[in-house]
Amino acid sequence: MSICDLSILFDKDSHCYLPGEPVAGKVVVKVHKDCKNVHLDLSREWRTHGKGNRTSGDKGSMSIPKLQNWRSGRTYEYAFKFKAPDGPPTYHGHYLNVDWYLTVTAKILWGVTRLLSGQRSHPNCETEFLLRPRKRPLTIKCHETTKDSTQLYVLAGAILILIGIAVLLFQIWLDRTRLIDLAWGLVPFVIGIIVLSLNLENALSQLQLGPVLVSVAPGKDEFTLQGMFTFQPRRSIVLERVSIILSIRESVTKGYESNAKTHTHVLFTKKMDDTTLGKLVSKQPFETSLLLAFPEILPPTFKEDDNQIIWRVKFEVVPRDWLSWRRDIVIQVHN
Amino acid sequence: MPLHDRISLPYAHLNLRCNPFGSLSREEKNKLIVLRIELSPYIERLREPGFAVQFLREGARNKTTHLLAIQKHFPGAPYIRLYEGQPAPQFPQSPILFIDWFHALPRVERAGLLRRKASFAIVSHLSHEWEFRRAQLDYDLVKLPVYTVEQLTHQINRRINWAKRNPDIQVPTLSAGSIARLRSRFDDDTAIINYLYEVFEDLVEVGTVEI
Repeated sequence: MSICDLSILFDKDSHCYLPGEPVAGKVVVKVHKDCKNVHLDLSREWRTHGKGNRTSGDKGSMSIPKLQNWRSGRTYEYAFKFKAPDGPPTYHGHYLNVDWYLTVTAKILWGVTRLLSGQRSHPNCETEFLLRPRKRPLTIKCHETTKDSTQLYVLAGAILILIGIAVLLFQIWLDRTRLIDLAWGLVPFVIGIIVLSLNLENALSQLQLGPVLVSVAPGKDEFTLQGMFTFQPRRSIVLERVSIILSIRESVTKGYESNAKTHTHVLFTKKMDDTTLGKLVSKQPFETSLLLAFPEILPPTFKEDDNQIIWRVKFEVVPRDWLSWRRDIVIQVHN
Repeated sequence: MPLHDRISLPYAHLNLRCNPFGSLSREEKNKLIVLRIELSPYIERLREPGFAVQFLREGARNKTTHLLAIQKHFPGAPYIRLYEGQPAPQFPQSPILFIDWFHALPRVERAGLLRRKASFAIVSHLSHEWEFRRAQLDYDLVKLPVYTVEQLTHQINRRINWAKRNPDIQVPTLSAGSIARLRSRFDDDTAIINYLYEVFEDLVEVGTVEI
């Protein structure tokens, strides 16, 4: 039989609190064996659980200051009170859950007590409490208008390809044709191809559109965001559409190093288009924005090691008879 | 309903604290994972220097859990986890060493280590058979098998009971037929765990789960 049974009772049956609200309750101890000099330690932390590797944070400790002497057969109660933390709020998703835990441990001075009880570890008890998100609108951390570095990447890709080709030819000319010798040229060549192919469509698109600047800001109404486009076309063009696509997803990683695997679950996705823009005149600055509403129920950004909730906005500019321009931005959204 | 009004204790509708088939911490794995093979023959041989046992398999077959299960029989013996791309630690002098991710150590250092007068219990993604021979060690290469139906039943029930919230209230269970069907459908135990994760995410009430 264990030395004691511990339980935690909250003042609210729901266990549910807002950030900053007092969290109160009591620890109840049913003692089965006499013990002296017991130190009760209370700690709280948030932990993730679900598909991804476990992470935790914001561990805080409180203790009942006086050492306790307990008599067998008796029940003792100890009140506690602390301020509910600011966050992260409790979240129950598909691959990711974030929960807050309160743990009480009775740290017993061992010696004779331990010898008699046969107990190897300190008795403890753990229970969840729920941290609500604040009842205020989500705030979006505005990204400054982000310049597109596509042309730099294309240039870098082209340079790497040229370097790769030059080194390969040089090695062949020196009759060094082992794979390890050719690798000096192959590696930059392959990297250059990859960098170029990832950025080529945008670079070619900007031959007509010019550099495209995009940004995200909160909309005027609650639970809306505004995606803004600014560019100055180099030639007169007809725009089929501009679009913003908001997607929110859980991304968790299970396992480590070569065993690591990432699982993604889309929580929400929505697209807004404007197909009415029509003809744009060469060298005339052009600005437009799209407003996108999203449901109140969506969770804020969460980013800890192997567990994330990611808000991403994808921008598209689709001219008629020419290549499209696309850009992804990750935004930070908080209560 | 706004998010702040919808929160309840996780998986309370199933009388669970969490999805039983989610990720486990190292401590939880040590408690919950059902061992796939009998380890006592290796434990006895490791007590004498000059023997190496390697748990070998790509992918998740709980190799580390088996390694640590052996280590429990050698109190004080060091367990060293290596990481690719990071400098190797100093290996303490010990009659037995437990080394995880042995393949992350450069070959020259592996050879030096295996020349010690000691025994070795190793987890690796590569076979080190020729290195054991070169060091003149007796050795066993152990490929951990998939669970039998019986072991799988034990593993599934153990996970579900561990995740139980209130010990006096029922939790979802899987029928014996369902477990047998899972075994025949999936070659890999990780695939079964991943499948059951999704099944339990979709459960709305306690009952017998039929696959």
